[in-house]
Amino acid sequence: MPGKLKVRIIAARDLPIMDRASDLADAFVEVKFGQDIHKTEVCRKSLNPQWNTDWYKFEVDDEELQDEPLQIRVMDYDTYSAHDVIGKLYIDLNPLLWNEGASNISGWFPIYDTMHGVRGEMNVVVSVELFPDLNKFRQSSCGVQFFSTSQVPARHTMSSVLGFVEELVVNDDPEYQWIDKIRTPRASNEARQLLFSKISGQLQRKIGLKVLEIGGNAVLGYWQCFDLEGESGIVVRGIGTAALLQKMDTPLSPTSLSPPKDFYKELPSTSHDNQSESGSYESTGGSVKTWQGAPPSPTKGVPIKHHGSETDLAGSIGGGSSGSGGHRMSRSAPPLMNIDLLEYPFFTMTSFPTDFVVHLAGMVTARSVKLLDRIHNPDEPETRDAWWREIRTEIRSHANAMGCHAVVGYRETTTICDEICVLSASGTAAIVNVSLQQRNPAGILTVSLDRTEFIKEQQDATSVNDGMSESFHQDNVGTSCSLCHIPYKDSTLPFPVTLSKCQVCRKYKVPDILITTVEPPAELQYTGRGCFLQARICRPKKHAQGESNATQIGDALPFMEYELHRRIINKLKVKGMNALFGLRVQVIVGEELLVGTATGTAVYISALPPPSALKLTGKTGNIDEDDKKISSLQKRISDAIAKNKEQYNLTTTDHTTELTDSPKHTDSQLDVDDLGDSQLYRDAYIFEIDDADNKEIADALLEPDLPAGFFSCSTEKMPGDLNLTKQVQTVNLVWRQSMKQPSNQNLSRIFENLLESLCFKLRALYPCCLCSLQFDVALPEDEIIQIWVTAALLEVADSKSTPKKKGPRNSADADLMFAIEELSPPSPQQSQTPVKGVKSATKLDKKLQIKEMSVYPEVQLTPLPNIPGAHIDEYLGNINIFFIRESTSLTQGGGVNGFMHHFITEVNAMVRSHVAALGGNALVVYTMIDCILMENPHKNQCQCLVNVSGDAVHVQYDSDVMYIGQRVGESQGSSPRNIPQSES
Amino acid sequence: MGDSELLVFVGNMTFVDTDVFQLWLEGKAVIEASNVRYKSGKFAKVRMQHIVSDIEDNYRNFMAIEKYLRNPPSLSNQVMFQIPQRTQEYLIQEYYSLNSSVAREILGKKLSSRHRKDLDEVSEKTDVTLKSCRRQYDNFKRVFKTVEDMQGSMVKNITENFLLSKELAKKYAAIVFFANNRFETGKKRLAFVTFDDFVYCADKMINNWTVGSANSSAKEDLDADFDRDFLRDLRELKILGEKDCSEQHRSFVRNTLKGKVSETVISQVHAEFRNLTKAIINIGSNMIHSKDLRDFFLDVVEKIIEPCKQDGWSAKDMAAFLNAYNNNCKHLECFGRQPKLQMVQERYMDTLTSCILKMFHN
Repeated sequence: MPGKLKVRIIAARDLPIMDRASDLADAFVEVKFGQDIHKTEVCRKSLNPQWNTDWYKFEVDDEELQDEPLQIRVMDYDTYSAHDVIGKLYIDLNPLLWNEGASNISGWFPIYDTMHGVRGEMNVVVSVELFPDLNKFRQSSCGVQFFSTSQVPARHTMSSVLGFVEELVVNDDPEYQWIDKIRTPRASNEARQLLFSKISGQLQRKIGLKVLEIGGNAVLGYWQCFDLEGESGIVVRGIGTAALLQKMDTPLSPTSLSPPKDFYKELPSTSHDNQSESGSYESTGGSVKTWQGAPPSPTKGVPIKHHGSETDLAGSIGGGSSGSGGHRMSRSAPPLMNIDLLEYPFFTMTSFPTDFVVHLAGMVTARSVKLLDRIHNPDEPETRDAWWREIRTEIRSHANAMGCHAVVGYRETTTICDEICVLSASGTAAIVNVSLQQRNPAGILTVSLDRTEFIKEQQDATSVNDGMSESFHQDNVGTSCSLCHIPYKDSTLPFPVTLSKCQVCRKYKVPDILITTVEPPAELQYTGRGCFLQARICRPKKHAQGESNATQIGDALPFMEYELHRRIINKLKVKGMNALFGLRVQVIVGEELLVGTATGTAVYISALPPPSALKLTGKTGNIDEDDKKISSLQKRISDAIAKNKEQYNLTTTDHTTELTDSPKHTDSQLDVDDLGDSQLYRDAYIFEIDDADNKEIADALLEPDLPAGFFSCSTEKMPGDLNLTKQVQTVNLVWRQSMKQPSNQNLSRIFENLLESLCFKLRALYPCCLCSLQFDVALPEDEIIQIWVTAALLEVADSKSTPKKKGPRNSADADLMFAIEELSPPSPQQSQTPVKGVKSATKLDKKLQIKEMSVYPEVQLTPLPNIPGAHIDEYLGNINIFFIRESTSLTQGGGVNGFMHHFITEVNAMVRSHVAALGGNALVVYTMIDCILMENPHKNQCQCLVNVSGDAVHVQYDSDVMYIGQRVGESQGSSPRNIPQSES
Repeated sequence: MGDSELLVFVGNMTFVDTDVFQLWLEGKAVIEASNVRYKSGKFAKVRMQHIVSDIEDNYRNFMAIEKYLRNPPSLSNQVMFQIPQRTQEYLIQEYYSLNSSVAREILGKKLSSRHRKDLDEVSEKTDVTLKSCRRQYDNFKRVFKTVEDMQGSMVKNITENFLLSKELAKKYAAIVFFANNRFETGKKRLAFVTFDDFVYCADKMINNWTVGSANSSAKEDLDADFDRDFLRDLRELKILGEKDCSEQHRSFVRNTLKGKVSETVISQVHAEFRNLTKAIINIGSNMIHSKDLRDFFLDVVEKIIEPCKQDGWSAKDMAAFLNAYNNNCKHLECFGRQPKLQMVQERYMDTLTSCILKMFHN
């Protein structure tokens, strides 16, 4: 009842020829919502039909508005036989359901057909009138905003953070239903697309209900996945962080691109008067081994315990809304959260407001191997809920073991291969300060109270409480190092950690290496510049079925994790750095292969000790020859370390010497002997070599540099002094090949090759930085490995940090993968020369075009949460679209390369049109996941599925450069615009 | 790692490597183009496989964009590719660029599918790849089809419908004009006339002799068709050939030329005057017959340019003669009472003079 949906169909253009005789089409449009259908008139004999209809009105429930997409179908009228479908358009109405979102959806959308791709465009206007419904038994959750952005969105402030929310919906996969045997591929694809759209709407509605229940109004860091389990169905999972957000009315100054901080500055009487409070954010202890300390779940291979009591957690499909993740608190705003009452104190966010994270301890991981064919009733979500509950419980206990009560940067993933499903969760154990509202002026009184309570909570929550309460003393207020101070007591850790005194405050203990899954916090002080770092390994596996297969995988997982860990730490040492941020560890299961990657951004945190030298030693009983090899390798590595130190600007004033001068042990916590031990221990990091094969070791330790002028990081932010001014390109690179001899070396070669190829493709845009560089690996078939590379390419403006680019290339050049062609400096008159005929047109040289790249695209797509050189005015809605494309004429369309190229181009175009129709000009946190490509070259067939998501926003660019097209309506006068009239 | 089964790069913005675009326009296959790039020395340290993959990515974009290039205004309206404005302009100008040698071969031919099949001969003769010849031919045909029946200035129509620069649009206008009137250009005698000469002549003729030219009284505004009224009026120029008139004309011309050209030329003018007048009058008065019209350039070369060249005239001599010839007409007694005739004569002779002088080279 409480909603009115209105739709107008304006026109279409560039329709395909549907009638061979006339080379035209007789198009009409069907507008469908739920069970109601409206049809337009047939517009005869036109490829550019105009309908200009009145409003089609649908009276609907808001629940339906959340679940169902609006379906628009363009048809070709046929008097005698069935009408042909030209293409379809699905519009998600959720962005129209929040007050602050878009007011209507209006614009040109590509008309899409799963078999033919984009076939023309259509102009549609959609609006929704919502009547507020305060019925407390309602099933809808209109008004809850979903953000893929995993930080506090620009121009918003977070009054409180309410914890982890999750939901999971299970459904049949239409592709596996009996009916699929008799229907066309098109019908099957469309059924799937529609279903995906519906269940993702449903999922958001249910999560929304949970958020409302705990007093929130938004979900941050929303992460949604489709698990295509095959026979057992489709699972759609969503996780996020519930929060209460407030929109700021004051416009931000263009320079203030980091809203959380600004917020605190703007608020009166905040920071200093509650020093005690800000004092409570602090230190972090990191541990390397935590990672390793998270072995796969013991339940591997053995499916399913039923937790009957909690079955309503995820809600059955038609079902009730029972909050699962959070406890229910019906306090009026702002709701308070007590972190220790949370079942899962997890935060999917990766960047936090200042003071939120107190200490970062280290990464925690849990994995579990499950058999899909053992699910008792696959149509119900209980089993999967139970699986995830196990994983989450394990993560929580790992965090507790590190003296932490929270996990930040939390993420859940799966990898499926036939009946095997590996569930993974990872995050960073941390101590957080959730009581953000204490920062209100009114909250001063409660500060001390809350703080003691807070400490008490922590003591309750963790077994290692002394260290923690200690660390909450206020004496290191304002230092940038507290995030790294360890929250645990070293003696209580289940694994050894090398500790030393903090290099900045020289009071608290810090680990030698810090590994996290979050973005590099702005509060920390970094030395030099960060860089992308990756370790990759593979491991053959016997072909097996069922339980034995699961056991085999389960047994291999800890070894893979250990090996990945060892390799990336070694590489980190060679880089001369001591921390990893945004670390993602992927383990992918194939038929006869396991592949693991660990990808992160390496950086030198000033507070942490400098990395120890890497010493190679052979195994006992070496032959002389081996010694020679080792010593030559040792030299190579030492050279590499020295070079890296220079390249990443890691040379700083030596803190260690100062450290000895200032033995300020004000802190009873610090054990001097302990420190001494660890110093000794740290002097050399010993790397034992079993086999003095140069190549293998060099592979494991050394990574070729990117070409001069290229920088990279896996995180959204590049730690360090690089001045990144604007985004110039969005990268989508798909690679697939059969790997005949899987070995670690071959695998590394593949990744290196891909990076090399990518840099070559981007050569015209250097100097630049690949941010948010991610590699998604899949093993779709026997011996086939697929990698999907995504990144944002940012322009590097500051030449200071790119010394290599300026000077003549020196010997270091030899190590680069390739030298980039020299670009001649732009000559001023050339850039003025208008395009004149054939000859002079060629003068429009490269440099001119590069200059042009400073022009902003009409719709920017970026994996980053914001756009450098611009600031976000408005969030217009979360975009989450599933596309399927199939071809039965693969060779005619340029093979699988042509197919994929075309499909990604189309997907980007469609996503852009959705953003533009909401009134936006950019999609932030643009993510393509669940990319599944199935091909059958023998049958000339290919199918690809992809899920695209992100936040549609409107941004204001700081400098007033023109948009590229400025088309649509403007300057379409009689004279051709922008064509230079050079002749007199 | 050998050959990649799948390697595809797609950006949110579509940038164009101009070198690769030129290779594509030339019709080079991926592997040929890769070899050209590899051997160019620009990418000394780059492995072949990366070059190949980069060219493949570019080519795939070009093939998809080609659809819009066939209708250039659609390039800025399409939503599939985000291409910077200047790159869009570049792509259009380059896609419609032509080789003079290829255009020269096709000039004046009917743009039918029969001729499209003969393009391999053109390709062989001009040393331009067949693919490139086909693209150019298809461009000619597309422009022709679009503007042949369009009212208004042809050059303007082309710049508006294809967003070409004025200079390039003039070339296409010439091609449309020649194809529409089927001028003979392929005879051996005309071999020395370049494409640029013809473009120049076509431009002059379009501006002065067609229905759409400013001095036409016709209601229609078509640049592709000759002004029939004008062609009919040209027959009245025969009066210049009458004995009295011609004698007077000859002596006027001779007087004017004195001191401006050599004595030999003056005596040659004297000797050849009647023949030249006859040629000028015949060419003009026969233009009403479409068969004779087609041979216009052939006649001009055979009857006017060649005899004068054989007499050893320089271009300067020729210009001086034609100037004197034209300027003295109005003083002729036979012309004096007919102002309309004088206008026709000027409209005819101005353009003819321009054409003759443009082609008066080896």
